[in-house]
Amino acid sequence: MTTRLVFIFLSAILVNNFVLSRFLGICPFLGVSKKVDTAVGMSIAVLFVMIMASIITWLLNILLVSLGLPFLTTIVFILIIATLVQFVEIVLKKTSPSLYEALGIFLPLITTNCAILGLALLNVQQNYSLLETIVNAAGAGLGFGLALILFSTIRERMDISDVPEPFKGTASALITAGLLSMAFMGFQGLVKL
Amino acid sequence: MTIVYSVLLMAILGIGAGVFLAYASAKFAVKEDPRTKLIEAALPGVNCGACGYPGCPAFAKAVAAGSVSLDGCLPGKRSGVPEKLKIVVEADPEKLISFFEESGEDAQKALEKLLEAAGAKAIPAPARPTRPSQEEIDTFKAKLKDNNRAMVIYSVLPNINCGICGAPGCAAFALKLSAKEDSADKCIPGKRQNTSQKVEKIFTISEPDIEKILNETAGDIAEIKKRLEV
Repeated sequence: MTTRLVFIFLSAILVNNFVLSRFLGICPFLGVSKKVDTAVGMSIAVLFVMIMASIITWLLNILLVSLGLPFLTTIVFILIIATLVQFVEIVLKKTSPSLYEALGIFLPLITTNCAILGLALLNVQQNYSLLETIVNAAGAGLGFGLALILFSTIRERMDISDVPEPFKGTASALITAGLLSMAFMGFQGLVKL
Repeated sequence: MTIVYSVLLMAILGIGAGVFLAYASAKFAVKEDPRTKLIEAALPGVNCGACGYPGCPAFAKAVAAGSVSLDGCLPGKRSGVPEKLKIVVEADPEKLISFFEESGEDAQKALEKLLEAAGAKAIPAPARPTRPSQEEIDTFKAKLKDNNRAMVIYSVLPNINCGICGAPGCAAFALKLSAKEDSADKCIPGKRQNTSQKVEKIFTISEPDIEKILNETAGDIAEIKKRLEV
């Protein structure tokens, strides 16, 4: 049982990294990776929303299956995730203005992040139990953070180094993302579920 | 049956989520500075971003914090927004809050009351600029030939003949500027291209140098511009 949880956790972080192996959540990966500070903020927000959304969608899925409406999962999950993110934003604004300011625009942006929806749908597909779902969500969120923070540190270094004119900015960022993804391929086969 | 269930489920979920969020936003409502709200009410609300802030609310926040000039709102500049902002910013805080509460926390109404109390009715909205006719533009363009400095100034103006400066066309404005009868700040479209600094720079060029520039470029506007940038 415990080993299975550890495997799920490791697999979500390294082997099936959401950004670098599953290619989900590419938009914030490129958009929010210019500075390490914002990357950390975004990672924390994603981790939090991923765990919350996974738990609620897991419960909802039971309802959907018992009603015989599994084809509604996608649209119901989107609705629930959007509501959840809005709720988190409202509460944060009231309870922790400093965190709210730090996360800024990223929090509402997560609403439309495919990584969150992808995670919720994958959890359902794999028939995970509630505990496994939570572990998987934590792993996915940490994996997203790992990729984002790694990438942002590389980009910060590249900004100050002497890059040939045609490769400046997005061009070198895309190449870096490709190399990073290839590096993560090395984890393939590390964990077998 | 499936259809009925799905419709019912989606309806319940949708209404539930809506009610839940409405309740949450009321329960966790954050009281904002009424000054910021009044400032926001005074802005055009077009969220053009020309001030450099993402939308009017962000600009309003910056104005309330005093970190931006009151005339930073470009679309509002000609409809008296800076004057309105000045009244709001300089208003007595207690008066402002009492106006805000009197009008049921409606920022628009509170703003109107505040402006009325400050006698803001006296601020006339600036007249709409009249675009000069083609004939007027051409006559002033012809006059440029006799005035070297005005010709060089003309090259740095936007040359869109909008008439906002009050002169009939850019050529007429350049003539006025060369005689120092007007300020280059009046060129609103040129503001973001630092036209007034460029005009000032032209005044530092000596008369023979101006003639030299004109002779070498054969009076070609684009060429003169290039020469000035060097």
